[in-house]
Amino acid sequence: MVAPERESDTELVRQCLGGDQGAFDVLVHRYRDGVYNFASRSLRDGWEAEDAAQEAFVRAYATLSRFRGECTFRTWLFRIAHNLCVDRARRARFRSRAAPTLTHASDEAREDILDALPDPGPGPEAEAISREAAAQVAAALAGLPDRLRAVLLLWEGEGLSYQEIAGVMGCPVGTVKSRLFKARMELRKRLEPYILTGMLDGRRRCE
Amino acid sequence: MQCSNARLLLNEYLEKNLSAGDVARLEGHLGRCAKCRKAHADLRAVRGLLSHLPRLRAPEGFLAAVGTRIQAQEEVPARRWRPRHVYSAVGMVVLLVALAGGWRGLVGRTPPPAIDQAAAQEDPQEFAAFCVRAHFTEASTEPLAYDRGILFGAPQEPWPGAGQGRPIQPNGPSVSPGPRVQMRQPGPIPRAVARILRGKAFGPASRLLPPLPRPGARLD
Repeated sequence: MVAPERESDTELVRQCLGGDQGAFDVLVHRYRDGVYNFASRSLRDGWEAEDAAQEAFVRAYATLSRFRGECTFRTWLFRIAHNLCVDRARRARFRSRAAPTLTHASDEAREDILDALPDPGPGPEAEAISREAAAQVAAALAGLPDRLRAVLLLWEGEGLSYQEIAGVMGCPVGTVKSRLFKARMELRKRLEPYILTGMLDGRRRCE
Repeated sequence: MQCSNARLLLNEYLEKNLSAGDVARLEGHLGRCAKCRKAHADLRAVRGLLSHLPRLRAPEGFLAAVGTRIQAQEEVPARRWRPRHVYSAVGMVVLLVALAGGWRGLVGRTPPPAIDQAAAQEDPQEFAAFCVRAHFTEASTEPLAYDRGILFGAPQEPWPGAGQGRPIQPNGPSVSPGPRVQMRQPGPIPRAVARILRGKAFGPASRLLPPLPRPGARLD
């Protein structure tokens, strides 16, 4: 179904513009997890995240002829996904002004948030990680301002460089560095009660 | 090193992407600045916290769903092609009708009907209309002291009921009522109404006409 993934993104884009639908399938296959992960962490609603991730690929396909290669395809794709998530998050904020955050929520609301979070799925690491701790971090991350959360997700989750994140966000590299620092400090501040209680002490995934 | 500069380097310090010189300068600053040391510890803690987050995978059927949506979107322009041209055609018709109306206003406008002086002598309403018309066509702002004798030559008896009210002379001494018929001054009439009375309100040709005199202006 999917062609071997040895072609570069640029080559696949060129093939797609030449009418090869299969080339775009390869691109979707290559970036679907990254875009879905980014959308899921940006939007609290699992269905909304899946819909936004799909729409990002649909828009990328529809506007592929406008992609001039000034940045990488990955940067361009995440820029579309980021803009979609910002729009949808803004609409969601209008719909529910008083969405409870995990930190300040009542026990009942906290249970609702935990139930609404997507299941990490099976896997030895996911099973080992406390779902409670993951939910707390995810809720704190979702509570960050859009511009801070996006930088943090792209850096930590997707491994984009400063230049690539600057391309996604449409801001200078220095601003990306500054926002990354602020995002980490804000996340630290929001999770401080749990850090102090030792609830979040655990091993690091990346080490 | 300033604290602001040091904090911008902390991210890369954690990622071990700094040059040896920057590492030495940053570590020297961290040794002296307690705030930056705490910031560094906080950043390390956050990196640990983020490790709790598993990387989510796209659900099954994601690729097929994207393909379906792309296919559906490609069909949309074909469906919209016809209405878009229908709207264009309707717009063109409206434009042509508007242009035709403007052309008629420019070249085909009928002149205002002539004043029937005989009818004006007999009918008070015709007389009033005549006075108003004379007032505006001649752009006179004088108090309308028209009477049928002045207007039509030979003095005529006033029509029944004329002159029974007190003549209105707002800016001058009252005039004793007599056989001379006093007409009420029309006063300021809106400019748009005046243009309609002059028969020059509609059509592009009306813009070519000289403007109406300002109310109160005297004619030489």
